[in-house]
Amino acid sequence: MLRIIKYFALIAYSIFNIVPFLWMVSASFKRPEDVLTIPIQWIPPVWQPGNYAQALFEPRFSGYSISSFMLNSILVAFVTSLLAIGLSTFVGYGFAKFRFRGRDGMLWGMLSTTLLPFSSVIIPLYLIMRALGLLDNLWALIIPFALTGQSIFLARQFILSLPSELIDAARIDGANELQIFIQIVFPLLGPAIATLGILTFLFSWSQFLWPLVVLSSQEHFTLPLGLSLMGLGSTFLVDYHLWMAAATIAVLPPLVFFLILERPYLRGLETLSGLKE
Amino acid sequence: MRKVIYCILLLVVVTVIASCVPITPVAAPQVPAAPTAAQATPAAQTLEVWTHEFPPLQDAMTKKWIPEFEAKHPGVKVKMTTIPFAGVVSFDAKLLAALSSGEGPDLWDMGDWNYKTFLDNKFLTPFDPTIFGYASDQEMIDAYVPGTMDIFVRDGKVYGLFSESNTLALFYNLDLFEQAGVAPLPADKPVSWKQIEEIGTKLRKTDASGAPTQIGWQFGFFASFRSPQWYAQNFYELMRQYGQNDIYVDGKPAANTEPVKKALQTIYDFTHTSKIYDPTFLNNWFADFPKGRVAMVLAGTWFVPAIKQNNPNVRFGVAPHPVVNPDDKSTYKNIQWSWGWSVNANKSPEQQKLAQEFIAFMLGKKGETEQAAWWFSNLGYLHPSKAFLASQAYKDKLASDPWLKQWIDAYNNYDIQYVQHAYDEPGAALVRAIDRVVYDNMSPEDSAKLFQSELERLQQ
Amino acid sequence: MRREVKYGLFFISPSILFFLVLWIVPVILAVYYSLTNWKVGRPEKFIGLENYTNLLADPQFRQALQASALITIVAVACTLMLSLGLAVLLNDDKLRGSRLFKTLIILPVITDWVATGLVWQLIFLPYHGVLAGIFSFLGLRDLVGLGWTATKSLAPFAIVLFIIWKTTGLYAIIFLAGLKSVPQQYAEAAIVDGANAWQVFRNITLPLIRPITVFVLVTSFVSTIGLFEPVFMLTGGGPADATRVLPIFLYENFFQFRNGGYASAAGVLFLLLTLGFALAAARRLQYSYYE
Repeated sequence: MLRIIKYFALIAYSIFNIVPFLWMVSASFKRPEDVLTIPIQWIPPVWQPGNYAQALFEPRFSGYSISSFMLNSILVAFVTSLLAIGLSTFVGYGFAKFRFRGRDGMLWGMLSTTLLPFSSVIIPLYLIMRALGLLDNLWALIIPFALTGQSIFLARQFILSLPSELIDAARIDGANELQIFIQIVFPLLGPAIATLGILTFLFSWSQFLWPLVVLSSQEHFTLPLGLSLMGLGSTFLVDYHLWMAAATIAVLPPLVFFLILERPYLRGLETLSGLKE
Repeated sequence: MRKVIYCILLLVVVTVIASCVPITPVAAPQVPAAPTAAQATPAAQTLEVWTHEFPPLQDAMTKKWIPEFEAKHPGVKVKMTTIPFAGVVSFDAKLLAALSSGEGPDLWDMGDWNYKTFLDNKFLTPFDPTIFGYASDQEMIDAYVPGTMDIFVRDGKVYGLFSESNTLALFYNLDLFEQAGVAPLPADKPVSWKQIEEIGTKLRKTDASGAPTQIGWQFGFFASFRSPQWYAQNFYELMRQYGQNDIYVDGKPAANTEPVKKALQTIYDFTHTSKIYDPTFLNNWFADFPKGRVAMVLAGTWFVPAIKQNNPNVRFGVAPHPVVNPDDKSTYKNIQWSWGWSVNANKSPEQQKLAQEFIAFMLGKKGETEQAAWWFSNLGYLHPSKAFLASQAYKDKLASDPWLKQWIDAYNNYDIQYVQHAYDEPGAALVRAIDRVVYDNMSPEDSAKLFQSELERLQQ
Repeated sequence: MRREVKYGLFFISPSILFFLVLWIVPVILAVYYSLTNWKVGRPEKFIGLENYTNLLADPQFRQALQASALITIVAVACTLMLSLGLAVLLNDDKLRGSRLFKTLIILPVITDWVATGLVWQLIFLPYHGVLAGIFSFLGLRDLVGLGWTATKSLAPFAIVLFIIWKTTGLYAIIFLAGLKSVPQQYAEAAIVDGANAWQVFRNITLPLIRPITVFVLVTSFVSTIGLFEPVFMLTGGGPADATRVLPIFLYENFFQFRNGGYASAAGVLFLLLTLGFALAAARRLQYSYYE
């Protein structure tokens, strides 16, 4: 009996989770007049897969299209992830395998910045970007997220678990510290790299407020920002079918990456919540 | 490790596919620069233009003006950015933020309400009248209907030129009127707001479940767009007709006054008493009216091309702007607003010159009327240029679209002025006051009181 | 020893630079401007704590605090309970399809707010939206016309629903991992002693996962109170400022009204508020579990 309730509850919640997505995909294949019908037609009466090509490639944003926004998002997320991997492992190594005064205090301090809402510092951050001349520049999207307290902590936790003997042996052999990091430590960090990669990628991909603040020309818009040009209250055009097609398109890359890197992602979550030693 | 490689491969594949898609603006054709020996090689220049989101305007730029200008100026590229107009991300805010940091586009179009601030902050370049074919600033100013240029002029210099000049008239859907058995409205005399309510009540339809399928009246850009400009416009015309010009009188907040309360009361009545306006009804101006979901709106000349874009067969009538008392001329008050093209003072002299040349190209130099005719014909954008208003093109357009006469008559019959507060903090307080009445069902009395106290706080 | 220190600092040096530029300096800047009457485009003048006193007396700021408090507290409470409940349900080795359930549950989490926001806009649309369709199907005619995002009393809950949908999965997975890491012997011993499942859960499991619970509580609070996107997509702060939460208040005051000093002061207060809560809750964290 209990089992049935269990399954029922789980199925109910899963349905709650997936219904918006199902509706989104269903609407994305409909003609404009079929999208908002009561009763809801889950199967489109007339299939219009052309919506996707239109949503993706139509240059409706003064010459730019969803595909150009997507390219920007991919670029930014990719570069941020690469930088995050390189920098976080570099820094995490320092925190993990070296002892110096104030080390734990500094780590704790950096990690505690994750306790602060980003939206509370956007104003001064914006001013700094302005001073650096990085406004309306994709680098302004990359730099603030290339190294975070969480990514450092993650890398450090992982490196902690590496046996120190390898490092000591290399030192005895006369290798310098940088060589040790690059040739010995880094190659062992496969899982950490995967975790950092997927977490940073998903995080960067979903950024909206910060791009909203620093970007002004549509040439540089990322996908969430471009999507926000659609939707109620943002535009005169009520092509719901295209909005849903664009939303579906936007959901696919993070979904695909997640499915490939599900294990590292979950492992990263566990590490961050302090569960994995 | 293998998974990481798969990811990188996937990323590479996606990037390659995505990069096959042109991300440069489709509307910028490649013009091969072919300098002849007699012609100096033009330096490659890029002009950055910002426009507020209005699809007909974007089409006009990407399909006509930008390609034509680039064709005439080899080596010059014009890049346009369109920014949504209303909502939390507003065009004005982006513009201001960019200009305050010394950045921003070379030229842009903006609403009249910005000129004071932008001029105070020295963001704008004074136009060189010779680029426009005029011998002096004064000659340039005099080329337009007296008084219209005031908003763009400071200390005798011109800082903006008309993209459009607007006032409001009443549009009504003829099909819906006929279905409800309502006679078309007189074209020579305005109706009263009470009459609007009576008509609107007849035009409200709901379906079996009680959902409204058709409403009589739609305020401009309320529910979906939350545009402070339109809140202010719809409010100011009422407040002025009830006898008060601005929410400040003699420099002091005057929100707890009879005219303000009456204006709020009218909005309240439309929403809650006669229910001719439904704030939750699907709100898309350019679709609701032509598709027969809304019977009456107040709009400008640009409304027609916009609704005809997707509904070329819409049947509509145009009547004078409603007034409180059709027999009392003192209530014949209306509002106006303009959008002007301006140039960034922070750019190099060459950029500023090129920007002005582009504006002159789009709007016409001294004596030229074809540009103004094109804007009027295709977008309903009116340039109050004397030359244009006297031209045959204008007369022809009037003959083919007689409803345009409402706008000419408006300037003769109504007292029309700009709105003083829309996007600033008093404007935000006004939006809140109206929201309280519309969404909170608050009485106009109470809302006006709160409005007054908010304005008083701002003054400290 | 000195070599270790030297190289340790060398390796962590990028982080020092980053945190200086991206956190320390911004906070200092925010505090500095908050003590001036800076309006963007004009030079600023020192005015001491005037911005703060004005803020605390400003009904708009109080409204922002209220809206933030309402939305955050309700969303966090619901998310906490829901995610814990889901984790308990999933914490069953004999459960079939658990992989599928886990994927479905975390699906909203990995997508972005804007794409899903577009969908939820249409879900909440009165008379024609998905919710309206569901109510109509269930025969609940009166609810079909509800203006979720256009009604002052409903709008915050529309946002809360969206937030719950989007974020619960993440915490469910974290709780699940926490539950799985709890040593089984205590629970087994208690069952042998005659305790039922609820007693085991309440007296053994819950205390054992307290660090996780606190982590979820703090993280969800901080991230929810800082949310801009769901409000932006669904209501834009309205109607009648019912959902004009602190991030929106900040954004509008700086980018629309150009009140640089005022907005900075609001930002500092916002920071202190969340920091205060986070530290108070984090104090309960066993320090050792971060080692």
